Amino acid sequence: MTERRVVITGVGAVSPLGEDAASTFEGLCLGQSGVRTIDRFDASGFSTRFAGQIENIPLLPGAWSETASRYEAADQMDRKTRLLLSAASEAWTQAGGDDRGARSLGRPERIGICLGSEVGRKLLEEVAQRSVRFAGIPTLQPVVPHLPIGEMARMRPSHPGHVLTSILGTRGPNRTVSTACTSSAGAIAEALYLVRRGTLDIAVCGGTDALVEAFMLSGFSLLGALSSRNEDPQGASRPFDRERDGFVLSEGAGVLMLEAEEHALARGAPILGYLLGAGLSNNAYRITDSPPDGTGPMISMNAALDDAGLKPEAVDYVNAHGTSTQMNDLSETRGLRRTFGAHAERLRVSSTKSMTGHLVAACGAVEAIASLLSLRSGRVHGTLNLKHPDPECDLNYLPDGCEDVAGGIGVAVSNSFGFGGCNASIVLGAP
Amino acid sequence: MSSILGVGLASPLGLGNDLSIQSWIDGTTGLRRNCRWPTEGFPREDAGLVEGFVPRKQLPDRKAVKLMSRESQLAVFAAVEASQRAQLENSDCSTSPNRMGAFAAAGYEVSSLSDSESMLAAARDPNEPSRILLSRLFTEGRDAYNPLSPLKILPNMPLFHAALALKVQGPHLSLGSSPAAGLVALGEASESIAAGDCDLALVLGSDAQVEEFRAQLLVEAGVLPILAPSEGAAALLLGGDAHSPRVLAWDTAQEPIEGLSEDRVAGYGRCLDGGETRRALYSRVLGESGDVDLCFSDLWGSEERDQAERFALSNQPRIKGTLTSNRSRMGWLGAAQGLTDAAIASELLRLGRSRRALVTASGLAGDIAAVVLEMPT
Repeated sequence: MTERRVVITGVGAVSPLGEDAASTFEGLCLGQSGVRTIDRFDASGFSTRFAGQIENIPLLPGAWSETASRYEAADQMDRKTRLLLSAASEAWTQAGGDDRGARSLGRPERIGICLGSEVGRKLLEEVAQRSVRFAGIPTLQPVVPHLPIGEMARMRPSHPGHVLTSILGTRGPNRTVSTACTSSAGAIAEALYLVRRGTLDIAVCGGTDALVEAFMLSGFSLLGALSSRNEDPQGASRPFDRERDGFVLSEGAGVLMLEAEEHALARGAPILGYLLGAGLSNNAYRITDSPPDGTGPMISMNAALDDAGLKPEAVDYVNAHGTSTQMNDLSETRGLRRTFGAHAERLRVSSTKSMTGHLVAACGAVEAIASLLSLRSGRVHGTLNLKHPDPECDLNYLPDGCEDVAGGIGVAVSNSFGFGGCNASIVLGAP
Repeated sequence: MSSILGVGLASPLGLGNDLSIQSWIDGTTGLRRNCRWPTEGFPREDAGLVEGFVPRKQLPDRKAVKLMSRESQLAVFAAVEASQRAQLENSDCSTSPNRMGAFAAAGYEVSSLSDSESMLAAARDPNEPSRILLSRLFTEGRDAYNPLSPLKILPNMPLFHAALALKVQGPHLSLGSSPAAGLVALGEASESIAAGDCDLALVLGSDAQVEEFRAQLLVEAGVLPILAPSEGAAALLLGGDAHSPRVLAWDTAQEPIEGLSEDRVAGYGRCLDGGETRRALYSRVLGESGDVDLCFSDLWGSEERDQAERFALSNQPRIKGTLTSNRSRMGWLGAAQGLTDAAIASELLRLGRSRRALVTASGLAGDIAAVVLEMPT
């Protein structure tokens, strides 16, 4: 089977830095932080009281809005699905799609969806209601009448993808990848394989997550994974800094339109860049930690470069997973050194999360988009808050902010690593 | 062409491959009285339970058991059995861990919500018990909460625990909770081997629906009372072997499904095209493979969904055998469903009871998949 080249014809993002991909990237280049004190609920009793928050979710275009309203009316539109629709509509429109849905871009059975998404988080209020009203009752049976009808829909990781297919009318594979923080990078990899081997002409891929909610904030806080720098929220996410103390919970969505090159050329679609390869690995180590020697990340980066047919020296820029936790940043640095050898000294490496916080299931997609926009513009954003370099994290993380690279950059790698030992690396190329 | 080197099963039909397959051959049902919670007034009093499973005694790492949800425990059991059946040295792939992949379909565990409820109950306002005080979550509530609980609900945990048990470090994929996802995982594992990304692949399907909250969700989805809630896991170890059952063809698609209605959640409705998308999918898969003499269909008793399945399977000249379905004997296995059917089909091929088998599965929201397995001559 002849493998096809895969291009990117549209992107969309919603993040704490902006309501679309361009404004998100602009915020990154300006070194802005999307992290602030939580005001969506009373977080005063929490050990962490800040997060990356999206204030306004952009309005949806005509037909999208109509369908979304029906789901909202039926209490089946959760926040992560709504974020996804905003990012997807932006990407869909940029790729040339319109209100006719899948038929506006090709044959519906040749267009599919691959999204990274996690289990819907229950709202604290819902759990609290049950806890209080039914405490001491040995069975949940009496609870049933009080469960909202959309409960099951909102819990399903696949819900965002199924709402999207109901809007677009796609008939190709519809997949949900649930691998924690690598979910959306894993979904992009899946989409790449589907388009490359000819199953699909177009794949709508990416991910979404909305974790800024009391129930999840309490869980991650008790796990000790979050920064508690409450006195300085915007300085809390500080990847590779020796004073880092955990990641910052955030929310958002990112969507990329992947397309077979010949299909895109035939319909005159804009070619924003190339998705050259992807690599996945598992640490088989611990639930929450990466191995200190960086083996898992190294395997995924090597696999991605092999898949792209590139040598390490071809890479100009790495968008790091860079969470601001002690172990991730150390493990990733060592993985980068083992993958790139002497070339690691010449790499530009930066962390999007230093400004957006951690979008969890959506981070891989938004960071892939940031990498793509760097390839297109020659501008590479920096790593915010890196003021006291960790001597064990000793690469060029662009602590001084955005860099305009003379002559531009040609190849970027975007990393995502997650709970459960999942690692995903994707390789993007300039148009 | 990927071959199935070993199969592990923890199903309502029995704990372990031998017991499950023998029960299937004997025509035994896997449904029995549900003893997990009081079922008086509940739509069904039976459930598909994996009996005789004692995780602390039967899993390789006793300490890890407490970190696992039920579906993770079942998944590890099946994964270890599959690797043993495949006669991998030391039951793992430690000689080249990055050349072995792991591909999973898993449900989502919600039992940890019970842990959270304890925390929330402890955080009640003493003066007004109907209120939860967030300020008490980190004082009174903290002691009632296991910080690792939230991690249990992550859908990739069965894959993680199985990968850890077998030391798998190669490509991985954990797909959402649909019954069809197991067949997609099987297909993608086969593709990954064919593409040279790995030499061996562990394929997992696991779910644990015999949990009160999840069972209530099945009521909402219209699965109950048609099928009983069930639990189980299947694992297939794929590699290259000319003498084992192999994955001959597979494909997947999305069919149009009914949208919203007042009493149904989104996408949990009838198929809108009468089964045309399924029919095209099955024709494609069968067209690539040849005649099949065994068909594990997706028929499960839902009139509106079965109509589409019957239409899609009717007048398929490649289907020579009888249409069967395992759903009525094993209940609603969720994400474990498709792969459990494939695992049983693979063992029937190995036993010479079939030459070529079609397995189909669909999710309630319209994702469909089909796989053809074949025993080489």
